[in-house]
Amino acid sequence: MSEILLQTKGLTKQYGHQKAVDHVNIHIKKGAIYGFIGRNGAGKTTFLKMIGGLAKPTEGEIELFGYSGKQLKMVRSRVGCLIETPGLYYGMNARDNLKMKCKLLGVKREGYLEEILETVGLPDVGNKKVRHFSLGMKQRLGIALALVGEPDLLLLDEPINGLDPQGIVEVRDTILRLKKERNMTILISSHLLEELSKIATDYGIIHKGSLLQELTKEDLMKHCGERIELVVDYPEQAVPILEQLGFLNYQVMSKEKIYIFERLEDSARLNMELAKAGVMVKSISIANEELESYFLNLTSA
Amino acid sequence: MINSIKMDIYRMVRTKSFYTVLFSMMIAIAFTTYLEFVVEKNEDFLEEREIAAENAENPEPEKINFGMSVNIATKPGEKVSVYNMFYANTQGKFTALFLVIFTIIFTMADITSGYVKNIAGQIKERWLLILSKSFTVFLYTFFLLLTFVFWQAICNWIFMGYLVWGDGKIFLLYFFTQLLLHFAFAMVCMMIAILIKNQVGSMTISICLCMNLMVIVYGVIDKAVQNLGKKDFSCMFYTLTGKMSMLPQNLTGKDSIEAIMISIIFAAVSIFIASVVFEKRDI
Repeated sequence: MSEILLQTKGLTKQYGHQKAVDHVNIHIKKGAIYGFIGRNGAGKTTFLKMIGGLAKPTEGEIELFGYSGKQLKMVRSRVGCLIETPGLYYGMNARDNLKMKCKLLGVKREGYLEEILETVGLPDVGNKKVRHFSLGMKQRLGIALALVGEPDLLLLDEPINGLDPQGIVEVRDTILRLKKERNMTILISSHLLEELSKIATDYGIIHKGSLLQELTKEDLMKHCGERIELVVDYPEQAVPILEQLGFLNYQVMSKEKIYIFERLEDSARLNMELAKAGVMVKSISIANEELESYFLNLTSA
Repeated sequence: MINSIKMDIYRMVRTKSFYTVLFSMMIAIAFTTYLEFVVEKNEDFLEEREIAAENAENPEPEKINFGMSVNIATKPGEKVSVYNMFYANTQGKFTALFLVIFTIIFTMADITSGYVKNIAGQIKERWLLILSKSFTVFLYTFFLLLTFVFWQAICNWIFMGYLVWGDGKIFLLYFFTQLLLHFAFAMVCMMIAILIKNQVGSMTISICLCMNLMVIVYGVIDKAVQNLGKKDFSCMFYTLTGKMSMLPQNLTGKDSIEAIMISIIFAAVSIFIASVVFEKRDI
């Protein structure tokens, strides 16, 4: 089992009578890109603020890198965050913005700023003031700031919100590069499901402050990806035939239903082989569910 | 702590407000020195100068009114010294005005820009950010008053055609006493800014404080206490703005110690409140 880097137990944040985050139990594995999905106002930002040490929980516990309670202070510096819009001094250039945080964290290494700017794809910004940056550049500079001090966990709150398609691709590439080059654990919140599905390895779905479901990419693909939906009288008779034919990625969903997640083009041959073996096929079809409709079904339930 | 001070000093020297406020003050000093040169040559102002000089020797709470006024306390016929000018401007809270403008802009900058979100979660104790801001503002206060003195000397030399420093010992004592009073006043303004989290609001309140807005409130309190039997009571003796205005031009060690004590109390309480609020409040 992979090492759990972050987990929360009953994490709650209450403003007045309203619970913005309501007893959330989340589990994030080391090296994961965890997509935190939820509508606007679902509690994503409040949750991330609590993880990032910017807001105090009303109730519950956060365990980070194995530390919790008052010991959390020891590992706070290992968490970098970009919450809401990037917090930047617009009258300064990118290097000055980064240099201030380097001074705070005691980072003195020669060429460090250039390295970070290179990582986020901003190597040639020179002395350009931040106020003249595009939205995508500001967003990437925000990520660069979160990277100062080499955090092990990166919290990104809606990093692609409001970006044009080019900006979205740039930020997505940056996130994938961080995962690949630094094996960083990234918790990224968004309501743009299709975008999130391109990078996330694990998902948590939050709605009205409550975490409805946690699932891996594979789980989600099983729910949402294209598949052969096979309805038979006795699945236990069908399974050996599937394996004989080399179908390995399948799941028995109910007393009659089997989902097969590979070789969709072989559905006709599968039907024939099952018939030959005397397995009664009630129906066989190619089906899929959009991520969006899966999410909507879940949250409207 | 050292790292956050380094960060704040770097931020201070890289922000425009640092230079804008300093430069604005220098222009204002040049202008007021020129005006003083005009007044010095004009016999119509002889009476006013005599009153100002008398007040500077024995300042009284009743003479402090709402609004700002800078009165040069040089007796007619005497040369205007740099100390006279420094005294008049610090007493009139002209320097405090520039200081609070910078303090509010500087202490609110990381909150209004959102930069604080990048750093507040990653340090062990968030209140250290308030402490480092306080230290940086102290450095700025020192630099501002020092710039005032040397620029004033240059302006005196240019406009008056002579340079008289004044009594060195008293000047030095007055300088450091006002430095602490100004710093403490800046801390009160910083605390207001942190508490209300609104740059315009805190700037307005701070400027009003510079303009002795509180004399209205103090007047009511004074009256109430005097009615209880303490006839010579005045809040002005125990407040920063009161002390700034009422330090006599020939101040003694006792005057200085009283002012320093009040500065320390106000600064410590303000920094403490700002730190606690900043530590406890969500960002």
